[in-house]
Amino acid sequence: MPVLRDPLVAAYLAELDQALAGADPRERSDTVAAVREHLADALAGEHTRGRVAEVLADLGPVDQIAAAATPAGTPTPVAVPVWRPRLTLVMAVASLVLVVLIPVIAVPLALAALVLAAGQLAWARGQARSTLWSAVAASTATLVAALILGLTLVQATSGTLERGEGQMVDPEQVQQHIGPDAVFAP
Amino acid sequence: MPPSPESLLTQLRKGVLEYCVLARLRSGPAYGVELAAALSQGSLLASEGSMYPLLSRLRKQGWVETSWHESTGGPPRRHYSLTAEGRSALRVFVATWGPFSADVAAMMEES
Repeated sequence: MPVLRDPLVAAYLAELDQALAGADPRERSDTVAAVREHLADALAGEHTRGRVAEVLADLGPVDQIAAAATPAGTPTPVAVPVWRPRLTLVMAVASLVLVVLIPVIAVPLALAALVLAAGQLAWARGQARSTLWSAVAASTATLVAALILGLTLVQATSGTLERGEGQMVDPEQVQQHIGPDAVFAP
Repeated sequence: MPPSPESLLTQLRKGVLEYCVLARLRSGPAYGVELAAALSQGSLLASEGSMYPLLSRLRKQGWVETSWHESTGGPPRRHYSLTAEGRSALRVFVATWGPFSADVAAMMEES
């Protein structure tokens, strides 16, 4: 009879699938398929009772095979191209460099780098992780620097009211802001 | 309480076994039965079947790929082979393993 319809073989494969119930779904299907192929190949030449028992014994207990599989839900080290984390870091560092010169470019660049880094950190392993965390640090530094520069600019603008420059404001508000001793030039 | 040899072997295999598979594929593709037989010499594998979840992970990682080959007088066989990434991963392992295993051996010899 065809190998895969042998009751011992069929039972073994069914038990293997069952034992892999808690395993990562892809590993489960890959393993069952591969073991099925292994059996078809190993028994193609000789398909006696004895040989079947021998091949199954060499394959080992299904629980032992299942123990070698990754449990379901474990994040897998997916092949992440090396250049992606590095590009993210370059973007983050560039944004930090540009923040004083061209903040209107630096801030979106930093935000983009931050989002990209966050997305990759879900999957990345090893060296890529430290590269991505550096990118996060640089982007955050850019955004903080931009915030400080922005606040400094706002304060500098409100300071020039003393000399009659700048926009219309409520004098009382400004009085509170710069203190009681300041004088308004006519 | 000392560990059982089997539990210790399980731990030791974890870092190293996938590179043994890669090394076996270094000289060219192999089909499942052949690969399993080669690796079950000695204590590398708990059993032939336990190689297959490992192969699944190696394929997921992009270090091993498979293809179907017609075989004379039998069913077509799936062949496993190294990818370029798999080859470089193996290179890194070989470079790292040499000094590391030597250090371990030296430490074991110190009395």
